[in-house]
Amino acid sequence: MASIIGAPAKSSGVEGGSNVLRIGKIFRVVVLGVVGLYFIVPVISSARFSFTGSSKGISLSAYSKLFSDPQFWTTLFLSVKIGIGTVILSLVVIIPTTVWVHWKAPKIRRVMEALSLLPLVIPSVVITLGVITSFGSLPNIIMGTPVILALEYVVLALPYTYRTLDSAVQALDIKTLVEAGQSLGASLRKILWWVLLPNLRSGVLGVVVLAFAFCLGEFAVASLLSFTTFAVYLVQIGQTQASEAIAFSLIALVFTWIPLSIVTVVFSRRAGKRYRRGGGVLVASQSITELTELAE
Amino acid sequence: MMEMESSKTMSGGMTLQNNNGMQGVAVRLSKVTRSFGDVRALSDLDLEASPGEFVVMLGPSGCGKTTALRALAGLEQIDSGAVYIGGKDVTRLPASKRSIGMVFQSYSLFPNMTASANVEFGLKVRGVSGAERRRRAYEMLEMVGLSEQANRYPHQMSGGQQQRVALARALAIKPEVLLLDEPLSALDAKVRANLREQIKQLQREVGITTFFVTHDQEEALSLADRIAVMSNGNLEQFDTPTQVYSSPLTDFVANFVGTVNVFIGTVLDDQIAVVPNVGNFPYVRGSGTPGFGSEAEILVRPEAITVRGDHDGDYLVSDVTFLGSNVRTRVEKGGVTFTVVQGSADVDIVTPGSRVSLDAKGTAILVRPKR
Repeated sequence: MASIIGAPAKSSGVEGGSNVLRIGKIFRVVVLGVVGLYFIVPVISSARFSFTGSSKGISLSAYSKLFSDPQFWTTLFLSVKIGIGTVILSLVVIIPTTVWVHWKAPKIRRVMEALSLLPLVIPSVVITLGVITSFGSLPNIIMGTPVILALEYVVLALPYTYRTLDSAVQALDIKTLVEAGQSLGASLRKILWWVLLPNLRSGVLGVVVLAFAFCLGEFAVASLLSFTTFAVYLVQIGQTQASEAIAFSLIALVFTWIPLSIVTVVFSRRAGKRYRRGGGVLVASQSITELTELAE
Repeated sequence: MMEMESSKTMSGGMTLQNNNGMQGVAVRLSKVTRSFGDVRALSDLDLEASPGEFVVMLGPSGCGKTTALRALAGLEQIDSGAVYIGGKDVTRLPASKRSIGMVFQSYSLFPNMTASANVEFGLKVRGVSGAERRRRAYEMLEMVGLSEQANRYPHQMSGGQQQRVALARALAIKPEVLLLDEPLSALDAKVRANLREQIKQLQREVGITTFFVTHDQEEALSLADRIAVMSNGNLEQFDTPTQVYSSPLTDFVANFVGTVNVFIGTVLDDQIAVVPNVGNFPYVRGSGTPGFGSEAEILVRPEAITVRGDHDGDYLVSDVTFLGSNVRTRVEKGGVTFTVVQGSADVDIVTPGSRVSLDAKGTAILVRPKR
């Protein structure tokens, strides 16, 4: 009996596979196109409306009004300040926690994950009232200042930030890396700084993006605590001036993307440089893809 | 491979130093106990390695060998007992303060660093200057034959290369003790055999006291100066490979290390045990050996018997495997299988299904009471 090992595959099978691939490709393009339109059409329509308003001609009046409004800049800077504070606090709290859980207490990982999801289950209004009643007696340096808002945003953003970093840490063999570092004489601080953080780059980037974007867009808690943040001011404008409100939204979109793009480019450049030196595949595009996915 | 001029001069009776600046020091685990809940991973473990010695800790999964190694490294807290490195009690010292180099089972290279940066890491931690770090890293990578891969990242190297870099990284800091936790288990057979030889050669050249954990008996027998056979947190035997193989102290060692045939025979006197129709086996009398004239189980290695074609023989050939220089024959009698290994040139031509006789050729490794 003749051996069939190494015999070419039947041509019908190959053609069948090719058809499946072609249909798959068309399906992907169609799905991506529909989803893309779903996202882009409202943005284009909004942009068009912000330039035309109720009149027929094109006008920049909505934008010029906003840019000349001092409260626009005040609220923007306030939100940026709160955003930066939230990002720093989130990183300081979440990085050591996730690393510790994976290294020393992997059994409680599921518990931590469940805890991090609590802000999704408990309405933010309830959390805010809890904060007001519980921390009302705190010194003025926290209560009544944007610090309280940043503290609350760290908790409210946990479902996104914790899970993002948790996934990044899970991809690393933390225990072995830490122990390898220790056996080489490194302290935990040095291991964290020189080994873990560079390897958690995409996770850290995710936390930065999500926490910052969350802060710029959050309305309910800021409004309840009587802070006029960027999002609160947007709602106030929207109640009286339609085209200005739309222009405001688009500016908010741009202002969210500028810092995020800067962060992405900085991270990607570092990664790209590292990989170019090693002659390997660039991960810059990977980071951008990750960022885009997270931002969406 | 870098020339190491391994003069290995003993200094002070407790250390062994070569021209590479590394030292072999005495290492001792004294009555070390460690439990995880109800499970006792280490039970009053006593183990001592001489300066420059290559000790292999051998045993099945869960026997406590890795726990013992981690206790030595300072990565595992012990419940009681003490750990001495170079005569100094390091029991309370954290891993980062002990002078150890460690290679892990899983590839433990830092993914964000090149091979060179990985090797430099321990030196950077110690505040060594950049130029000296690079010189030392190159020297170490050259020693493991990877100087040309210095700028590669771990993901650009094979498993074997990564473990060699890990070895270079562990040695770069000139540790007093080298610990290897199943470093070859994730590699394929050919790479494993090559790297095994390299590790052995390197250890001899460097002269560093080394502990190597494995569950692979062949690895243990080929690498070790002494093998510590462990079972259920206890040290069963700590001896040279020859002694462990040919004179196991316990049933566990006899069964775990190598293949063993169990014959039923009689203890003739204090030197000879007899297996009917096979022959006389010299043995060494131990505390558990049955009295003269008693029926006993006689444990014999496959090389200590030969197969002889015999139409009236007691044994039926069930399988014959040609292994190149050796031939392994399996025979059966009364539902019990026996294994015989002979040199290809010495073996009688037998085929599965034929009847054969067995003849005694070597010694019995253990004679124990019949169960």
